[in-house]
This record gives sequence, structure tokens and C-alpha cells, in this order.
Amino acid sequence: MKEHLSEQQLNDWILGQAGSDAIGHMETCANCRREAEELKGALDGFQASIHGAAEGYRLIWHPPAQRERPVWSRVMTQRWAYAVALGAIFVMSVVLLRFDHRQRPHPVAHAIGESEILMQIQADVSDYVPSALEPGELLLAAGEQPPPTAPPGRKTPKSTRR
Amino acid sequence: MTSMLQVVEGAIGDDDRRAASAALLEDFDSVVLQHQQRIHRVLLGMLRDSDAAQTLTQECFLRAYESRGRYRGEASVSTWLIRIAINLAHDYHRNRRLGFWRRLFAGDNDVGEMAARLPSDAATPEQDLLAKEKLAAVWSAVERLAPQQRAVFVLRFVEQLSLEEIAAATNLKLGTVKAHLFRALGTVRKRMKEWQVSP
Repeated sequence: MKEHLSEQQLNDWILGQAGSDAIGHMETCANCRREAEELKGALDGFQASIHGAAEGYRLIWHPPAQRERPVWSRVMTQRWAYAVALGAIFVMSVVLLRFDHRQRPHPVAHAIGESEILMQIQADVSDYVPSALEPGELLLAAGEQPPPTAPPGRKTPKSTRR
Repeated sequence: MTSMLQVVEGAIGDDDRRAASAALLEDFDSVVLQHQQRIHRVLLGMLRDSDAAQTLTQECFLRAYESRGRYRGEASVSTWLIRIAINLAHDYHRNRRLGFWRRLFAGDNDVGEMAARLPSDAATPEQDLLAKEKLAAVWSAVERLAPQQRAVFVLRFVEQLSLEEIAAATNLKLGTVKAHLFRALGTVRKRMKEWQVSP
């Protein structure tokens, strides 16, 4: 008994690409012929249903009104325009990043600045002379010159005695 | 002289086709008239939804009209339009959000409608019913196909395009087209057998 057609041979037959062996077999084998025709009939029905459904279809076609496209739209349809735009964005990003980098103080420099200020405050605090001692301070600043002696019989002010 | 119909059907030489196709696209109304049925059928087969097929047919011609200046005549007008239609159908399938609502409301009405349109040459009402059930089985198998396979299947078995034409319309290699067709036929045959066991 002859073997039946393989799935591939049946597919080839459906697609109209079967070899002479398969065509010859199909003429003699009722089983293969029935199977192939069953499938072919179903496919024909599928085709007929779509053709039937689309038969009365008629597209109502109105071409869209011609509009003058804006310049940027016309330019941006060109590929080179995209390349130029990307390049410009890149350059701008680099420039902005560098500018921002210069404006922002360096964190280490910032720390040094703070410590210097603190030291300055500390020095100012330690150099603070109470108002009562200011005359003496002035004297020291003026050099080692002795202060003019007060005329005899004159009392020293109370504040200096305190 | 090159006739408009020759250009549409792609039955002329390459140079003639390029020159004439460019001229043809100036008269876009003829293109619509000539191809609307085919594009609608392709979309109907791919989407199984009459409303969506009509909407996308309109969209297909709109896109073709807008990009007609870029048409170089490398493929026939028909192939070019089918390619646009297939891309639209793929986009439609990809839209998952719409898909949810579509599945929710669609049901199987369109399959029923299309089955009812099957030309009835059956001798008895039982045979008629059987034929419609068989058609519904094919539709359910087609729906299981991947979008690319479905496109190839529809172009072959609805539009009777050659494998080369299908390859041009889908941007696939000839071998890939064959593989898709074989798999699609395998799925349909399997579904038919299931239906024969339990119709």
C-alpha cells in the first residue's frame, strides 16, 4: 500500500507547488484527496466570506485640504536637521555644565573659607579689650612712652579706680 | 502608451512603471477607486472587525495620499498600499488598551456575520449549517495566528497573491513567507480536525 502524503506535501498541493509525485498520488489516493479538498474547501469558504462582506463597500474619499506647512515642520522632515539639532543640544549642554561648574564654589575651598572665618572670630574675641582697659591699650599701642603725669592734687577719675 | 490600469496591476516595465506611477499618483481618486476593495478585504481578514477595517481603509488611503510624494515606484501601487494597510493593522493589534475594550464588546458577532455571507449552494439546511460552522472554525484558527502569519495567510488565500508578491508586500524573505504559510495552514488544519471531532 502506498504511503499517504506528508503534511508538507499537502501544504505544497494547497499552495499549488506540489511536485509530480504528489500530484500523481493525489489522483490515486482518495484519502489524501479528501483531506486536501476538505481544507481547500474551507479556505475557499473563508475567501468567499471576506469577498462577500467587502462587496458593497465603497470608500467615501475626500482628499484632505492642502495646507501650507510651517517652516519648522518642513525643515524638520530633513534628516540633517535632526543631526544639527542634536549637535546644538550637545554643545549647549557642555557649555551650561562648564558654566555651572565655574559658578559653584569648590567644596574644599568652601571649608577652608569657613575655618578662616572661625579663626578670625576667635582672634577677634581673644583680642577683645574691655572698655575700662582701653586707655591702657591705647598707651601700649602708642609705644613705650610713659603717660603724662597728672598735676599734683588732682584726683583720678572713679572709673579708672574700679 | 501606458494605461492607468497597467500601472495599477504592475504589468509594465520598471522604467515605464516609475514614470507612469508618479503621474498616476497625481490622480489619486483613481487609485482609491481601483484599490479600495482589496485594501478593505485585507484589513477585514486581518482584523475580523468590519468597523475597524473601514476606519483603517480610510486611514490607509489618507497616509498614502500624504506620502505619495515619496513613492518611487519600486513596488507596484497595490503592493505599496497593502504594505501601508498591514502596518496599520499591526499597529492596531499592538494597541493593548484598545484591545481590552475590543475584546470586551466585540464578541463573535463578526464571525457570525461573515459566516452568514457564505454563498449558500448547500442542498439542505443541515449542509448549510455545517458549512457555516466549518467557516467559523477557520476564522477561529485565523484568529489564533500571529499578526505576521495572519497577514501572509490573508494575502495568499483571500487575495491570491503569489509568494513573491507577498514577500514584497510584507518585507519578508521568500523562505519566511513560506514558513509562515506552512505554519498557518498547520494551525487551520489542526482546528479543522478538532472541529470534525467535536463540531
